[in-house]
Amino acid sequence: MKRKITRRGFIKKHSQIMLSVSLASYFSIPMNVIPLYANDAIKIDNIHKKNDLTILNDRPINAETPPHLLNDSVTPTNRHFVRNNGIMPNLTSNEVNNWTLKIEGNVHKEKLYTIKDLKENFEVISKVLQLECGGNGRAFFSPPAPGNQWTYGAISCSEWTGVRLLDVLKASGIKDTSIYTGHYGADIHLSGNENKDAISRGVPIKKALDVNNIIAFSMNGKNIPKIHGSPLRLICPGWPGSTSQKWLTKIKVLDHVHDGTKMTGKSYKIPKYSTKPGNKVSDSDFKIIESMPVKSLITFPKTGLTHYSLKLNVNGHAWAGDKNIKKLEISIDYGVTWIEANLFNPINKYAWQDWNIEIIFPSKGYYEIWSKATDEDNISQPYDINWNPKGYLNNTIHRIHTVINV
Amino acid sequence: MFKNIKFTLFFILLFIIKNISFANDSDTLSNKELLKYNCSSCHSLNTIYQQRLSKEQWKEIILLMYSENDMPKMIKKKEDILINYLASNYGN
Repeated sequence: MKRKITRRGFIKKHSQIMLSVSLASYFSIPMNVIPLYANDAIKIDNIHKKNDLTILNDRPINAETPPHLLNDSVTPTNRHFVRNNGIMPNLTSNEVNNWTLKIEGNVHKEKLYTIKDLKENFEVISKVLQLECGGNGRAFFSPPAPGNQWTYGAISCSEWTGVRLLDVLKASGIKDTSIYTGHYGADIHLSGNENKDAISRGVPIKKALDVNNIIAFSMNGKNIPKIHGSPLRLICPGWPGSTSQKWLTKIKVLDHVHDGTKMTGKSYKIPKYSTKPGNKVSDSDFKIIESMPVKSLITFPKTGLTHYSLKLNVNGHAWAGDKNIKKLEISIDYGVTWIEANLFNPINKYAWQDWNIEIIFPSKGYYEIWSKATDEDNISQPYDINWNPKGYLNNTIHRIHTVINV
Repeated sequence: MFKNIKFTLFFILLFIIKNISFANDSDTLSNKELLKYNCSSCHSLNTIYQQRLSKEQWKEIILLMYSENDMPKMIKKKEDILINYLASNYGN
């Protein structure tokens, strides 16, 4: 039976199309692009569980976690920062259920896996892994640097379950001439241009073949939420989070350095030499960031509180990209003297390391508490920023303040 | 004579139509509207509100938006207005 077209039905059905057309023409969006206002529903859907986070941007969604909410050894999902370069894909359950990962490029055997194939063909492992945005701490750059103004909280250490990237790459037989990987995801370029990737970064083969990288399908024991890259994402711990491709669809093995979106220009790069703050640096004088540097956070107590005892338990985490932490020190006198804190081993390689200390203050008063980590190569956190034009790798000591009132 | 009036009316009408279509162009937009019109179809203006950048940095960003992010090229006059507006409101 043919459905009768009523006037009301016609308006209902076509007003949406007419709205799209008028909006598209208003913003002069070229043909064949996805109208991005359609993403508003996704935005609201996903962000409501993150209401303790600081929202830096709503399109694309970027949010960070205040330090005092990062106190857990394993970061809960709702406290995990959000970094998006493009628009999250609006996936149907059919697309999620039939998700595939392609391994191609400079390999002997190209492969196409469903998530079920990955689970059946490779050992499934769980690891607690630190993931930090390359621009964490950019907000403190002077002169300021462009980009999301992250303060402290673009860092996490959640548990990821999946298969080893190493095993999956080996199964395809990497050719000897391979030097880099290129990672691809299903997120949409901000302009809506389907021929462009929102982001596509990669790592040198040596890092790709590290046993600790995971092609993950679970986060903290549950399916990865959409906002964190459901149903499949890569985790390359200790390196800028952008190498940990979300909504992962393809890994290409390359015989050259990857030239995908945000691999070129000045993205995720720092000058090859030390630069005077504010100076311009030409593109050819930049190098790609690899391991993230040594860093620490005080996650308890929250900054700015008054405490009514001379004794105060302070704790936090420390991490150093590919490396381990050897020492964590605290100062309550602006760095004049330092006290060593109790430092714990990581849950596994690439997890951050918990630390704690009981501070005994000499008297009542206003104090700053500073934390400084030192890595296995005796490299410590600086007091001030080693400035670079794009605002990456701020690993200065963490400072909080408190009033002791007795 | 009658024919001439018809012609005159026709050209007056053309002139009016031409001006109506111009009224829709960014010519009459305020600086804030210019920002919204040129930037917010792809990303939230919160991307901009976070920044504290020099005029030179804003210029570099606009060029990057053209080359990397499919931003339609603005006419030079408008581009200058936008860059000045960005640098004076979201400058360092």
